[in-house]
Amino acid sequence: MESIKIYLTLFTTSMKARMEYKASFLFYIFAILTFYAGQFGLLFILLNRFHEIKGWSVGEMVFLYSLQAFAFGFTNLIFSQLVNFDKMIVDGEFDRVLVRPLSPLGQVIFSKFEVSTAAHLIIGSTALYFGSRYGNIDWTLYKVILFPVIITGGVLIAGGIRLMVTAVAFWTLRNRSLVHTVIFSSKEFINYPVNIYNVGMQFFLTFIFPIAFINFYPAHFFLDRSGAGLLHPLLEMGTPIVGIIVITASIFSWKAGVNHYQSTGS
Amino acid sequence: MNPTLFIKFVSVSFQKQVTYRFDCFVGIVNGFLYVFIFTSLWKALYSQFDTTMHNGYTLTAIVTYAVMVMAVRISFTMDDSIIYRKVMDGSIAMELVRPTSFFFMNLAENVGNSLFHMMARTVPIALISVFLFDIYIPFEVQRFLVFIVSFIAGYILVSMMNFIAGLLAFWFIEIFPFLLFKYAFYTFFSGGIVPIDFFPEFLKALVKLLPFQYMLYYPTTILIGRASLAEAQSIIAAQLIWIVIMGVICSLMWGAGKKKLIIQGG
Repeated sequence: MESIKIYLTLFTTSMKARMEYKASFLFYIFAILTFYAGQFGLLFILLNRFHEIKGWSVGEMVFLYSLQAFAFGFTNLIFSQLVNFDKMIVDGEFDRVLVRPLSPLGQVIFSKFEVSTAAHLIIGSTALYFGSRYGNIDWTLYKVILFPVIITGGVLIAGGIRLMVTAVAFWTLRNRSLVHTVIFSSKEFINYPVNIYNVGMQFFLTFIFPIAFINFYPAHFFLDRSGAGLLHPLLEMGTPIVGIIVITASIFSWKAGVNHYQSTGS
Repeated sequence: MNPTLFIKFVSVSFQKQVTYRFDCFVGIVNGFLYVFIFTSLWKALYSQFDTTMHNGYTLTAIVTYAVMVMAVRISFTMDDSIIYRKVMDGSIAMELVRPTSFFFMNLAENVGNSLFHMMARTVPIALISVFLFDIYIPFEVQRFLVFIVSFIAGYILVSMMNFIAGLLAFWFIEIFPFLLFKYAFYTFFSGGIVPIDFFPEFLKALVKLLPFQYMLYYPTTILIGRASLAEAQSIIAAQLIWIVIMGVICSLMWGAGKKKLIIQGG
């Protein structure tokens, strides 16, 4: 219990540090919103011209986007320090983490607060509102209860993948480009419904690099859609289970990494 | 700046890139990931209709555009935070006392960087794409030469855009939000993902007033044969006008920036 208190202190300190410059904080949020507005803009241009993407209407696409925005928003909040983790290793900063009587993973995770979360939550909520409205979602009690469960599952998947690719740095030291490809570029895959890809890629995004569970499969449940592509009704509810599997595997790979770790000596 | 010195700087910057071989491999995967996503998206969109032509593009034409615009974009890869880092660590002061033009030094550094990405990433990605996708490019020597001119003009424009964004570091401590704005505008308005032909009329009117379309869209249309050789001449003329306009902005900002320069403890 004592350690939880320390984590919270670490967390609030880093949060305060980020909020120190209010103007720059707001400007940053605004910049991120502009970035996503651009993405949405291109999507609207395409949908305006083609009406739908493989059976997904504008409203449904927006809902798909909201699930993703929420999942990545919370993932950024919790796992943000992992993006620059290789720097901690190269600079030898990780040595400091190891000598403290707290879990190294906990310290790394709570050492940074990422402001982009606020922007993601604004985008997620807006998209959720319009997605529910134009995607004609019938919000039953069951769906309302399961919504946070699905988001949590998505966070575990995205966070687990992040942790796994971060752990690679224990072996390779610098892995910035890998981290960026796996964390940021791969997100592009699920900006669109996964059934636009060929079967091989659908399989990859379902069973090997399971980000389709972050939004594509659970969206079928919320939108009362029947299956398309690789979809089996069971997959709709797979998100929390896949999340637990991915995060467990990632914690093991992190631990293996810490054991393998040898300081760079800098 | 004398040409031999320029080439010297280009080669130093090129060699710096060569040291990161793993990054380079990941970079190929990263670039190809985007090509795969957008070609899949266009194929899915086109498969919904019996008509084979949309906004002047057949499926082959749009897939060719998607691949080639990405190829051009990857060839334009440069590090947009060089100036920011030089201001942060104070080494910008060294640039001020050098007898060479800072703008051309920066351009040389960018060229070295981009040449590396062109050889190590664009070439393999283009080769793989030619085998995997249905692509058609007219083979005319004259067209190719005109494309090279337009490509270089586009490159200079992108380099100037990054120079302007980088100089903001003279006035602001944090320029990441500006870089995000720049990225969003560049991706959207340059036709980097969706060609301008698909934009609604009011956006087309706006795009006409901005320099972004001359960076990626027009050079690509020349390459894939959408622009006739006569049109290509007026495209290049317009590119040159924009180079002059942006060049003036660069030198005004550089002049003002030098006076304003505050170095953080450097």
